[in-house]
Amino acid sequence: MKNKCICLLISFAFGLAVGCLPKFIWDFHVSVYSLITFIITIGVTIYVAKIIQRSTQYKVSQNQMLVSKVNDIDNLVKNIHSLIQSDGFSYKQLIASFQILYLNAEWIINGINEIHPQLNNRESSSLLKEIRKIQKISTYTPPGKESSEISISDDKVSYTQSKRDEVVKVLSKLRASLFNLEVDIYRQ
Amino acid sequence: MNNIIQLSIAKDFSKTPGVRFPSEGNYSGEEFRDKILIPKLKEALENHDKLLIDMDGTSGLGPSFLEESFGGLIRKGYNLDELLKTLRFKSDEVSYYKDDVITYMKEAANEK
Repeated sequence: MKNKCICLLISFAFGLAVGCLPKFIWDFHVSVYSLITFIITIGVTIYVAKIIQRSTQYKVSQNQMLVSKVNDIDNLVKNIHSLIQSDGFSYKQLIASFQILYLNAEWIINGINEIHPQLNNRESSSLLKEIRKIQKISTYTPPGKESSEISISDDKVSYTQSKRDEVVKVLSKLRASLFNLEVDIYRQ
Repeated sequence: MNNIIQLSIAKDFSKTPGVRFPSEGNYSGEEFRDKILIPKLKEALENHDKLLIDMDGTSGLGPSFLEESFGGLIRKGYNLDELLKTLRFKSDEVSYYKDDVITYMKEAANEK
């Protein structure tokens, strides 16, 4: 019923408009100047719209690429997380994993800072410091005595439960920082 | 006199340096310090040369390895100022190794 009423109203309005049509004056005299202005206006509008569209697409794909690279760092952190889960993992492998993580993070963060310099003093700059700190927490043994929390024999590492919890905690914190960095990139 | 003696951790010791003590595994910081670093350091000190330590080319240098190698020099009786004058570091791949080594030597000197 409601739809029928709306159709009726639209038909009435259309009929009224058609009824008024003869009152309009059609003037087909168009000056060359107006025509050129009209064409130029349309051309410029299309051109500007295309440029805006292209730059937006470029920015979106650039940010997507950066976020996928940050995801790569996150995967390296996940690998370290699974490496330390059980006793007897290789100390050298852990050290090498941290070097790969640091170098990748440094490379990607330099890229982010180049594209989004405004992020420089936020998440990105603290990430490298965080990675160094985590490496020290996970691998450092004190001089002159055996570590009470990290025991190493024949390159195989065992953590105490509290040490493992500590390392897992800082790795999780790093992953949260990486997520915040991804959010920051998408906001640009 | 004031020549530069070169020492590459990767070439002269191992591409995969590891732990702090030999009891923990092979290619330890203690082994590097005693067998490779100190003989070169003695040579450099005797001839008033500089000793350039190339830290590139390894799969990674752990903080315990670096602390034992360089902080351990202080504990072995070497003077911090003398070491800072003699030692030079090249660490193009991982820039912070150089800073860490200097920090470990200073911390070891403070703890003496």
